[in-house]
Amino acid sequence: MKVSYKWLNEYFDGKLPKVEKAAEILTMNSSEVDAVEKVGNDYLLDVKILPNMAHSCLCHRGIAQEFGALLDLKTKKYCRDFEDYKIGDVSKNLKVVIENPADCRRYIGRVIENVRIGSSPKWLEEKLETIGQRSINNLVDATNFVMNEIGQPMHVFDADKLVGDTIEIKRVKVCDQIKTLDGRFVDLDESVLTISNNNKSLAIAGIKGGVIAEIDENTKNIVLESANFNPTLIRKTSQRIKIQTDASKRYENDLTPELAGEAMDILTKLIVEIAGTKNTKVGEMVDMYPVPAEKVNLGISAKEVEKVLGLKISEKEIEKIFKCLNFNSKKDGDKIVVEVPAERLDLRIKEDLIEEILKVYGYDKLKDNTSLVPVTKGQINKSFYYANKIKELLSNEGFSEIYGYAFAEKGDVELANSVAPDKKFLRANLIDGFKNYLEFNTRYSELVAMPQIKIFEIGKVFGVSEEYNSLVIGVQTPVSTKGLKKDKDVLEAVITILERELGIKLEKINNAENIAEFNFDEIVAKLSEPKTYDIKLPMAEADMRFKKISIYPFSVRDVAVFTPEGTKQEDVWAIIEKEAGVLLVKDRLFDVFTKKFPDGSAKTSYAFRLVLQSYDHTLSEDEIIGVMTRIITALNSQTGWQVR
Amino acid sequence: MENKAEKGHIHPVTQFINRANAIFYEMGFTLVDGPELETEHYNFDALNVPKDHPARDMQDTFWVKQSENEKEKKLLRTQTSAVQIRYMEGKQPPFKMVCFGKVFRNEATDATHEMVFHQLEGLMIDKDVTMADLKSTLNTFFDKFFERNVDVRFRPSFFPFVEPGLEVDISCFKCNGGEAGCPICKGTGWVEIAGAGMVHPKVLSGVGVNPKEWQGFAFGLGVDRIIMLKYGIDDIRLLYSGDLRLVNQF
Repeated sequence: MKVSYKWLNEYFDGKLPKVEKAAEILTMNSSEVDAVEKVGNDYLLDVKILPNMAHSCLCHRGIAQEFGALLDLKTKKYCRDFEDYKIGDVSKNLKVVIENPADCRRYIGRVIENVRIGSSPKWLEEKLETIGQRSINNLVDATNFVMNEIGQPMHVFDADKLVGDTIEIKRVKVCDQIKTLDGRFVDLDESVLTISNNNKSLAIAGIKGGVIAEIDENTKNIVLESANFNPTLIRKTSQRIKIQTDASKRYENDLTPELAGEAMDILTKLIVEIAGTKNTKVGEMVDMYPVPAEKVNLGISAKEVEKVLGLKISEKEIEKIFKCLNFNSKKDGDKIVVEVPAERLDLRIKEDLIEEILKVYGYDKLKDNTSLVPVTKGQINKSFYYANKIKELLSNEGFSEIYGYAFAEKGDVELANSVAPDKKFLRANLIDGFKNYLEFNTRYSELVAMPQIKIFEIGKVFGVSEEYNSLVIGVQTPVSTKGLKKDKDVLEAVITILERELGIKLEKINNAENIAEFNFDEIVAKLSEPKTYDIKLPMAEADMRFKKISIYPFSVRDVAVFTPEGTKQEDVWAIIEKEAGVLLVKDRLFDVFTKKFPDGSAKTSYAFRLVLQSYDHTLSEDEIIGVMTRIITALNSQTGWQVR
Repeated sequence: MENKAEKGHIHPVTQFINRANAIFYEMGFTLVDGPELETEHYNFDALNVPKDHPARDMQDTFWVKQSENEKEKKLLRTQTSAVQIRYMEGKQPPFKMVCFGKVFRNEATDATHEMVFHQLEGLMIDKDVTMADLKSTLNTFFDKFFERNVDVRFRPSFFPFVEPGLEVDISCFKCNGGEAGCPICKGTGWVEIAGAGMVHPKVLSGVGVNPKEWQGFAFGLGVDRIIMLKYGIDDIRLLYSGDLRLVNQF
């Protein structure tokens, strides 16, 4: 909701705090202000109105009332004063027919004759411009003003373009088409409620006007509309025809039909003021309101407030808060009974009132319960326990845990609204995805310091009849790597370890040469109930920071050096790190041995594998040679050291 | 220098969940799981999100294709709150549970949005569980989780399944007070961390728990966002792409 600070401030004769302070107060106690932007000599506030506040706060008055309550300021009824008008004789004898009160809860029409269409006064143009709306003409601007002032959408028809005197609010009977004010053609069927005259659709009720009775520069006589429509109907139609307007947004959030009468009154006043001539005649309101809104009273006691908030607020204070909120209330036994204002459709149970009290009283006054008694521990979740047990066993064997994507190209459960062809199904197994993850990771095996890629996952898969947790383990060696144990053997060895540690036989549900998948839930079913959470998984350091992944290629180089026996690996590494600098992204010691030389001396050889990569460019051969030369020179300069 | 090549690495989401569960377990909460493929009833209706209500727009839902004879519409859960409903159904309080798991939203992905992410939720229902209990529960949890003293702050919010509804901020766990240029709180001193509130009476009565007799709180937090903030991960999609360049840093 776009809100003008100046406009709001007019409700308080300029007594609002400065804009930043005002925005903070609103954010902390009512609705979050997303942004404040200076527009001319005003400020635009972008206020995120929560769904429960949208009945009353998609307008300046609603937000002004929030400020009034929070700051204990008197809030004027409108941002400005309006002059009264007199009812006169109009030639058109307007009739309104509502086909079904469930679709249209109230419809007020009014004829005004002999108006002057033209530009709006400066104050009105400025207000609309601040909130990002273009001024169109005095009549349209007046309707937009009323909507943004008190939240009721309004519409104006050219009275002379109507045939006869009757306006009907009804569903489309024969499929029809309407050309909307913005020139679009919309097909209408019986699901659409229209404002119609002489069996022609003048407007899509609550959403968009049509061109048939559009006002233009020659308009003299008008029919004003102030109505209330079924929110679900407006929402469904708006979604189906893909037109969302400021009006439809307000209707679909549900407005009280009570508002329509007040809105018609101030719109009439404003039009007489800014578009009136000495010949202007205002007709009676033609108000069809079959089932008036019920008045709601809600009672609450100080005890009930305390029971929810854990905070004692006296009856007196609660009554004062209701006064700040401009709620009429009276005592009834230990209850304070509030007459809920018509527009506050969000206040229906006592918890709603408690929220209002909390807003005004202050969220910052909520306390901790320091008397929380020491508690017994929770219960052990068996499935979670064994997932961690398996993760512990596998990580001990050098396997890393990945989380694969939940969607797949094929499967048993298909999405009705998938976003891409390769994400049309829920994964039916983990093995298919794992082939890709293994392949993918082999490309980075040096970068991730895993010469042989060893990964696993425990996650949900979705079969025809059920979802279950699956466990998959995979091993893959990059083609270029030699001399390691066969993937298949590594996989079988780790499965044997799992079977030994868990004490059960594992049945594969899917397998490839280097991947095995198991039904994890079935494994858990065979295991005994754990007594405590006694598993320690490897954890990152608390202050660990993630190193961004470079998009540039990396290069791998080995360096091996003979050092006098007793030289520590840290000493070697310190020199390498210093010389390699930021380009060294990964390193590992891959070989170490001590050798006796014929002269009797013993030397220890350390072999490091270095991975070099830049964050901003592809390393050239010269750069790599440069780095390696610096490292080798530095190592060789140590007494008794010799790079092999 | 890294020399732990022999040991594998555990995904940061698992690490998060384990730490969180260990803390909640000590506080008396039991970990519960539930299905990812849910019915409309558990994901929306039972959580007081009416049909054709704008509140359903808050979450874009993935629906599952179904044959004609299947009565109830199925979807991928948009929130772990559905697990609370399944847990409470057919039981009587007191309840003290947490759940965590994947949730799904049909929205465009970018560095901070993913269609699949993780939530952690908690629920406590008893005779007189108040908002003060909620505040102290969250305070205790965050203090232990971040291993430092953090402040918890409440702001108004709306979730159909709670009333009053709250947005929960904590004082910045990195700079603890609004250091200009802090990458985590952007200098505000506060980090938006969770949604919470007092469980709506309709939700309780819907699962057969008498709201006149029992009351309590629920809270939920986005696991991924906290991990990203804590470790400085710049792209949420990295968490779910099976990429060891991420996992092996943890």
